[in-house]
Amino acid sequence: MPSSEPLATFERRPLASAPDGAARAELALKGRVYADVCPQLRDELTRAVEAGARELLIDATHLEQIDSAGLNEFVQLLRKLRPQGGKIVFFGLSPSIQRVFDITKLNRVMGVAASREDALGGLAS
Amino acid sequence: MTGPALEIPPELRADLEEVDAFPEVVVLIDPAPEVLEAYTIEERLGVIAVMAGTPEERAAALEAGALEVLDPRAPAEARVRLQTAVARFRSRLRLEEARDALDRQTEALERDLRLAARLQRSFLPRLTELERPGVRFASAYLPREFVSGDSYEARWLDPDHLALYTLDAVGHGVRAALLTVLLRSAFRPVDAAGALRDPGEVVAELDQVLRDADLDEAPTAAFCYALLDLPRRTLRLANAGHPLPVRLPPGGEPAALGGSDLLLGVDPERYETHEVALAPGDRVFLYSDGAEPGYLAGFVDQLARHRDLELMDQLGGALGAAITLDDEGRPEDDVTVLAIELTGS
Repeated sequence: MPSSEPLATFERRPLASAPDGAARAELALKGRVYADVCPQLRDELTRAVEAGARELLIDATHLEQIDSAGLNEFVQLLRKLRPQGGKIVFFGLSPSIQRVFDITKLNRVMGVAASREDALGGLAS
Repeated sequence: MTGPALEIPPELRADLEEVDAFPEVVVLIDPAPEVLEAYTIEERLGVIAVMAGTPEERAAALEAGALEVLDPRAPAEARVRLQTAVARFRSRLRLEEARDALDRQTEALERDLRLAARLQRSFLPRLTELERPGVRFASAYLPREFVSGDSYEARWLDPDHLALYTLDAVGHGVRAALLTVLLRSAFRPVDAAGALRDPGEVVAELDQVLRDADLDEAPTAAFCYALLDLPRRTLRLANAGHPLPVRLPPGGEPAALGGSDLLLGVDPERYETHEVALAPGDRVFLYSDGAEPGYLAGFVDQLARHRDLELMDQLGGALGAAITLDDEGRPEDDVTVLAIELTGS
């Protein structure tokens, strides 16, 4: 693997609050989210939650791979958000990442949507 | 402070005596070249030479390894240079000492990790001791680091029933390795009365154990349990978010077995038991996913390509073709495969 390029990058985007006032955040994942980049991912997720976000939209359109450690970051976050009615919805999964969600059945505990519009709809439901 | 008499102003002399008292510093007055050399050979000794010689002689002393060469005819400058040189030398020494201490700690940690790795491997079954008429075994275990979040087991529960599992605890390293120990110790395929338990029930118990464990961040793990009934040639499977085992019949295409339920450690879950029928000559592979792009598909494909080889050679050939190792010979993620072959007719 080329060491000069980062494994993964994360971009937080502003997102309007939900109609009921619940703060939302959108995070785009790019590249390969492996154990090595989890501290960075955790920082991003923590910042979003500390800024008040309860509902997270995860843009996985440019996500190439995610391992169990990467997925675990979202499971941990969901644990924190759920008591407050929080949600995480992914969209734009590649077929291989869709398969990871299918096998681990994390698609049952986190939302997985085909498009950004559907994901926003999933947050509203 | 040693050397022949040289006229040294009292204030400079006082400073020299002060630094000479430090065990790591020595002051030499007008040293002969061989004397200087005898002292500078010791790297952790700062040598201050006081010389009123020619610029060439002073340059030679520096060349020979003196920390500083002071001219007593310019005492004010000499005092400043002395303090600066000694302060720099002592802080360099402290830094080196700290680095040495860190190296020693790293070595100790590495020794601990090597021991942990050996212990972790010692939990793994010795497959040759498990061989019986009707079934052959093979396995591969390639941790990414010293210790691994992967583990596997093969154990005869009675003369007819073989318990097999592979597990993949989240992450790498010591944390993940300790999780494998927790799950291994909580695996109970037989109840108190000695009866075989339903695989789904066994996996559900592991999920409960992981969720109940008092850990800062409740971690997740993937686990696949397969219970072989050798006389009936059936496999009963329960799977928590683990890649589906693959069955490779002789001459047939590879097929995924059973289904999967939620990863361990997330939410209460009903783990289903799937029963599949096997036939003589079938090979079954339980394997961790790895994180390498295309690894899953590539591995199964390579298993089929290497089907004509003996089980262990097939496994080695398929892994060799499907995964890439880094410069240190490590895979990108922990890799574990446990395979059986049903022999006989």
